[in-house]
Amino acid sequence: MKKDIHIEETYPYPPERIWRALTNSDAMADWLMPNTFEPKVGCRFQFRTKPAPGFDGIVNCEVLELDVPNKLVFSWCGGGLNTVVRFDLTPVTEGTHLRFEHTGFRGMKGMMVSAILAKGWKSKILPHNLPSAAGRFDPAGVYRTLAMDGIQRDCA
Amino acid sequence: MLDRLAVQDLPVTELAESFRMSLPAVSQHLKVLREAGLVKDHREGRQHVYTLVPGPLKEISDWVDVYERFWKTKFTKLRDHLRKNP
Repeated sequence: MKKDIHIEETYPYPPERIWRALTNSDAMADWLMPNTFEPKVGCRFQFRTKPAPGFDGIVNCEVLELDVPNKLVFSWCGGGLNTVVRFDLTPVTEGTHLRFEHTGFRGMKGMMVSAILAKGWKSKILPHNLPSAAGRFDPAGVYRTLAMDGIQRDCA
Repeated sequence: MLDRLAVQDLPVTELAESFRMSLPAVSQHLKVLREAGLVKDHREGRQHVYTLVPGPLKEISDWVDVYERFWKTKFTKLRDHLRKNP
């Protein structure tokens, strides 16, 4: 299975301008989601979006690394995920290169298997409990768990 | 065990060897996986050979795809945000 997400972008602006958009709470609310972010290592913050059945609408995060204006890393926990999000900025002649990573999905497989085994689901039930995922994201793009209700508090 | 079976079908004996488990222990393990619908088995001569049932785990791969689309949408919004906020 695919384990990670990588996205590369180049912007015709200096790194400082991108950095502001990535690390200012109001700016993040504008392009990403409402949040309680503060730009300091160890800061625990949340993204909040509309709740849905099986998902309380909260993504819990912690700033893991911060190097102005080059690097921002934070954990992303919620909706059954325990993952890490990372932004790296590099000045280039055209402006700024952004390398984005969202990693740690591999752990989901283990959690999924645990959940399946714990609940003793039979193969006939699985296709019903695990319908196509695309229809189960809320308007903000956050996954609404059904199958993973029991294991979403994975990083208290 | 599922990772091993993702690469190729394997007989019980070989699974037991690679995990340094006794045959009864590995059989018990496989029974749980079989009842959960994650593996299935068939006989080849005197061997029980196990095969991964990929369906349930493929869903997780689909989730990663959905998250990728989520971020791509957000990066489009970031580009708009940057244009409007010099």
